[in-house]
Amino acid sequence: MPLLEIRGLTMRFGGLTAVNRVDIAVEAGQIFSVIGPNGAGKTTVFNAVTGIYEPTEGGIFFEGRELRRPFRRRVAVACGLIGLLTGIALALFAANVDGAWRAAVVLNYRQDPTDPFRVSKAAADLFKYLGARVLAERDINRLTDLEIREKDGSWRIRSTTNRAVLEEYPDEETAEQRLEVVRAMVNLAGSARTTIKGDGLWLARSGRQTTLWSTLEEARRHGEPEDASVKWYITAPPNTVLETAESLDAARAKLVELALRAGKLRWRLTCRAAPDVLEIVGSPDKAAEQALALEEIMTSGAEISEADGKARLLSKGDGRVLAEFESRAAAEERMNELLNVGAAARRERVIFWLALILGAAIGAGGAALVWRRARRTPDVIARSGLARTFQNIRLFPDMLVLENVLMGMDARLTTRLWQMALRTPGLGAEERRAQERALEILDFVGLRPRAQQIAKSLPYGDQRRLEIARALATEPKLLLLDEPAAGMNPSETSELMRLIQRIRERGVTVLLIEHHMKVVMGISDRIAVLDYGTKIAEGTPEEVRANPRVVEAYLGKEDLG
Amino acid sequence: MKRVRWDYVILGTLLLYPVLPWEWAALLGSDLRTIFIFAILALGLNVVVGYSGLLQLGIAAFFGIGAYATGILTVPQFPFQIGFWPAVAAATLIAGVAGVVLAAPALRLRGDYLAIVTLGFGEVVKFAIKNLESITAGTKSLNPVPPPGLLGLPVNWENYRAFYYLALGFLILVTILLRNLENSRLGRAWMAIREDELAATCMGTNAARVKLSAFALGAALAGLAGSLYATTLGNTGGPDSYTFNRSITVLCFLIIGGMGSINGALLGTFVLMGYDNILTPRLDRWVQEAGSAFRFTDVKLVVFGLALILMMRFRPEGILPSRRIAMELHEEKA
Repeated sequence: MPLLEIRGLTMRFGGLTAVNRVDIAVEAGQIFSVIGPNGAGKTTVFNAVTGIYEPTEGGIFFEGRELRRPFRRRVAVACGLIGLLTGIALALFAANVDGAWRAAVVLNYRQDPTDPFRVSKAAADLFKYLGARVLAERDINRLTDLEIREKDGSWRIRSTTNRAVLEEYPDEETAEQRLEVVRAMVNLAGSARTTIKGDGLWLARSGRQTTLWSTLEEARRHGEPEDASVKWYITAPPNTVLETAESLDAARAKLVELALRAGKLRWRLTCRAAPDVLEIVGSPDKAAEQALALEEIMTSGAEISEADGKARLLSKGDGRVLAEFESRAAAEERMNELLNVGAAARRERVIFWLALILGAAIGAGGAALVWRRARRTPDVIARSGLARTFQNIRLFPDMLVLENVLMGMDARLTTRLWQMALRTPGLGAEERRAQERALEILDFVGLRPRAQQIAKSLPYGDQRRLEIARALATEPKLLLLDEPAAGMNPSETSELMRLIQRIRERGVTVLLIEHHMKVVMGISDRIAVLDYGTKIAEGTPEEVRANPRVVEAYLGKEDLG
Repeated sequence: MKRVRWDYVILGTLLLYPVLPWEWAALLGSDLRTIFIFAILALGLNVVVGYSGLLQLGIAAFFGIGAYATGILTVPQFPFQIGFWPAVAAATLIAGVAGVVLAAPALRLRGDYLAIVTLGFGEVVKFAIKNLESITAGTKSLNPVPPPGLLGLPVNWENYRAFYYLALGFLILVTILLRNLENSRLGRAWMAIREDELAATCMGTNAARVKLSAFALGAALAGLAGSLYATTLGNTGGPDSYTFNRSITVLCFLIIGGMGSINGALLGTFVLMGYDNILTPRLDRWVQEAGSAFRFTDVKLVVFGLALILMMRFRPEGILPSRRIAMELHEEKA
């Protein structure tokens, strides 16, 4: 079995055929040369063998098998993961990320205990959210202000919005003093950020201003009561304490209660499918009740019953009154409206699942496709024991000569990321071994004294030899040399010939592209000749030299006329 | 004569700096603290642009992701509130994963094309922060981001020293880590990919994996910096802190300091941020006291631009270029 077998290789680029049905078989231990005039397609064959190009037709077999990245379970898992990610991303787009977050996280985590929607299972809620769930969201009525009115000899602080009396005092002066405090507290309850946690203390704040008191002593300096057991403060900027409470919940309840009575807080009922507000309710209890009623009408409809001049929507299940209207027409209209919203919600849910499934399929399929198409890449082939040099030298020009060779060994080194980051002793040992080996290879090509130089500072011939050293560092079974003698002077050339022979003696098979006939004829065991992309001859140097087609390809047809 | 180890001298100075008791020292100290954080960001970008040669113009996006991840995980309006240390780890990880998610499909692109993708990603993140009101509080910022707890020790975070040491500690940690990586197999592979990707691939190096690791590490470090930034600031800073402008500024740090070199990245950050945050406000005050209406702050970008032009003309490799480039210049002289 030949080490490398190229069977019927055809390479087409667009309409151009660069290589046409070439068969080459390289036996292990040979020095095999591919020659031919410029543009014969030699380098293209090399590029196809090393995986830079995918063959248009034909096969390339190394040690009897095609070199491809093997399919492992990890690949399947990765494709599945990418699919899942794509699906989730697409589904979130379809479902509105912002709204989903609000439903799953924000609404579930309300700081005031009076909130009717304190459910801890955020994930479960995320899915309910996709359906006809009605969300109650706290809304702040910004117009609320407070005033002082005197009635029956007492001074009352009351809301201008709904005229609810919040506090009462026997004299005007106390009421005046108290007004600002109550006003601040009403506003605080409406603010989304009412309380923050300090070191064992919860302090209220508002707006962007943050004051964190980490010790009670510090807090006391801002006019605190003497009693150290009081741990809860409601404060407003600039750091004035408005009220104290026995517990956090009490402090919150106080704020919410004041704001509720002042008409500051409202609950907006909305359904995901219809961003418009369905209803606005003034109390949390009412909001909870109303949300459930709306949900029921939206999902299963209701029966309309008329009595005492009113039309009512009754639950189909237990006949509870869900809503009340002035006329039958109004009730019907509202019910239809809500049913439409319910249908829209169901559509949304279908779209969500579709997006999830479709996204997952597209993601996983795409990932699998990309993986499949990139199975035959140069790195896989190089790791299987095929190394190459390039016609136009491709070193790592700004790296050291030694580092260039170490890069050749890169795929053989096994240190892991954390070892590298932490510089573990195992890493040092492996690095030292690799360096020793790299120096040995440099010694082999005669570049050891230049190990610490920058690669691009080397003279041309040395750069070629460094490229060979780098390729040897990958421990190849087959070495592909692309015109190694190009640009070399006669003494360098004969040195190179010796080097190639020594490489073969190391047990490495050499496949060579060369124009330099002295090199080719001098060291090759076998030669294949390419012309215009087809193989026109193959054999020992003597056979090839005598072949008239080869002479014709190089010198042109003899005109006998 | 023995060579002076300047890195130890500077490190010692920075470590001892907070001992200074004066008022001005505190002001300068809090400026330094910000510079440390941006130095981490610059080091992160240096991995991607400097070592691996992938032009990344959206580093601010990962900075923002880190800041907002920390914000979301710690602010009281959300139920997570996991505290600083887990949040820093999570933010770093999240930013790193975001880097992988962005880079995995974009890695087939090179040079300008990759730059455009990262630039676009930067804009996407900025607008996402702006528009995802319930998650990020829109143009306002998430706050308050609580200060870290240190094993229950009573630390006064109002004082600049605590954050100063926190930021400096992280900076030292990151520097050591990167120095190790730079001298390892991975650092070598990064540079090889930068020099010649095809050649590296033909030597058996999995270029995609190497590039991905650089991108992920760069993004993770940016996320770490963002996390510290949000914690120091006490809030997430709003979407305008994470614009293209910031990405370019950080890139300028690298260009001025020296691409692909840790010392260069640090120096670049200190010089430009020092000019911007420390020198100009003081010059302004001084000029104002002298009765002039001129403000150095107004010509900040002019000075930045001029510095870049001069740098490109006279010292394109930066003030402190990497060892390799320095050696190469040495070689030419010899």
